[in-house]
Amino acid sequence: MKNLVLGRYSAYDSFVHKLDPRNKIMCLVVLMVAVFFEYQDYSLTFIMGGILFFFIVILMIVSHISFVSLLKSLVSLWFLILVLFVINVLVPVKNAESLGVAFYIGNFPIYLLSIFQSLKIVIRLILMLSLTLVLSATTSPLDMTFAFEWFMNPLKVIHFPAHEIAMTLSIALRFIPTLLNETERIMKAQSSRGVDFKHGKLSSRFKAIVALIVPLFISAFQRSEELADAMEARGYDPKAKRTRYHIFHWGADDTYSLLLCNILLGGVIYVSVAKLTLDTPLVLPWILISISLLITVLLLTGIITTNRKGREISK
Amino acid sequence: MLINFKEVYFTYSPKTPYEYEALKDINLTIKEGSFTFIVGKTGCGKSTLIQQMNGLLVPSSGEVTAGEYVVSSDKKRRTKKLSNLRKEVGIVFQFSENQLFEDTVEKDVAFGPMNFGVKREEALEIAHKCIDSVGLNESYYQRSPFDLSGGNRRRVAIAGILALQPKVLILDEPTAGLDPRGSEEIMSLIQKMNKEGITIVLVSHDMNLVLRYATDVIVMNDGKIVKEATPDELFLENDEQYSLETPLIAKVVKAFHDKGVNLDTTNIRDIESLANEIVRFKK
Repeated sequence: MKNLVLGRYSAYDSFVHKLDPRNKIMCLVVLMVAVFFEYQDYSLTFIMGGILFFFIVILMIVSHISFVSLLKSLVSLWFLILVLFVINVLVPVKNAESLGVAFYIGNFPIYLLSIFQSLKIVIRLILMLSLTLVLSATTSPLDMTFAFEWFMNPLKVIHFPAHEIAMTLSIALRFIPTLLNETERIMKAQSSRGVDFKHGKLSSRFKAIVALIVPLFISAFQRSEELADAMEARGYDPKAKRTRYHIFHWGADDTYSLLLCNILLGGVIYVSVAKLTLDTPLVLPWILISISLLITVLLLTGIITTNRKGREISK
Repeated sequence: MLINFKEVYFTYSPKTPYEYEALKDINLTIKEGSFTFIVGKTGCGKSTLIQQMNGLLVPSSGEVTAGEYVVSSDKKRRTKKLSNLRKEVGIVFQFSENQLFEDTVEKDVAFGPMNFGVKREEALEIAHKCIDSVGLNESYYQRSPFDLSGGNRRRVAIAGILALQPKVLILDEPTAGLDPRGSEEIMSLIQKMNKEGITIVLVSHDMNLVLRYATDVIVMNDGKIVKEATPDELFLENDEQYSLETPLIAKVVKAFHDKGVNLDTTNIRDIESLANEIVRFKK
């Protein structure tokens, strides 16, 4: 069960936690876009990836995310990385020889280009993964659905059921831990009856899964029926106008952080679109990026020091 | 089969913000053939404790021995194949009726023994015997467990564990949510199994059951064992300090005591033994 709780929301009182969830999603989108830019050469690609990673690392430290969880998720990606590498080596590309040959396996040349290409994808994967980790670990699922509902608001004009979808989503998210507990409970009950979920022949493993899935589905259906009844009994009406217990305010912090992310994106776009290389004099973009990094470091180190005292809010 | 706890500690999700120490320094022996009750407030670690007994949970430090099996925090000392321990020590979980999944009752009960390599025909034979012994008759063999009432489904679930033919049977609140008659029947079934030589460990909140059936009582509070006693020691002397509810019979005995009638408490378990004791006192 332990690897399933990866990136689970943990309630700390940090700067990132306190940001408006709508802002956090926007920042995530902006930074994701920044991750996916192409550059003129590979050394620049790696440098830019490093800069973004540095930024994300600071974010992770501020929001009390352990690096162990990031590493664990990367370890589980090893197969994907392997496949990527193999495909990149096997698929012929234009100008494959341009960077020369890294080494030979027998008579088969492995080009530097294909290694760099797969390395680039891996770097993007790591960046993407750590970014989503930051979002999911600092934003409670309910806040997240609120933000989604807010983003879907314009669609209400065409009678898109934004609230219903958000409600379904929040219920689904709310019941993930419940179902996980239930899974664990049933697994224990069936292990007590001699089921081995980890070892054994394929046929007995299949039987083990059936012994888990059937009770799980039955309890999930029961739960949903009960929940629907309970909601109706309390007069739930999806069309009614709703108020919220927690009202989100867009604060100055939100504006700053969104601005910061956009400055970073601006720098990235400039480096990419102006087709800069390491040899061209890079005055403007480097200034932009270093200013934004400087602000980040100053802003966030200030926050780290105050945050260290900030205990976890609740269990 | 003797179950022995030696300095057992258990922590849930260690090294995370959700870290929680559920068991602290548990030293405990469950005697062979005993009918042991584990009582205590919700969240005091009862369920965690019983899961150590068949290796579902492994102590964070310390060790549990059950017969020749060793469940230890030390990997070198731990018995390699703990799944065999589950055949010897059966756990019937709370609301165990939720673990049924087969399309007929007999297949569901036979599922356990078949997991331990018993042949299909033989397993079905054991299943039939166990279904009979939990008080369901032949007409239930071919029925779907999902068509049965809650009480009968729980019987099927208990039969499913009994079919493993364990030496120790652990039950987590087997009477919760059953009507008085259903729980009475389940309890007398459990008592019958105890008389046949199976060691019973039972988690319960119902102190009347404790007084009536227990040979030993373990009182837990906040992950620690605060008292090990026989039921009459616990209830007829002082139970208030553990904030347990006093059983009805014990209240009657106390009322007699206050009126100057000192009944011999060692044998008082239910209404009949209380009446016997009163009659004996009058003579």
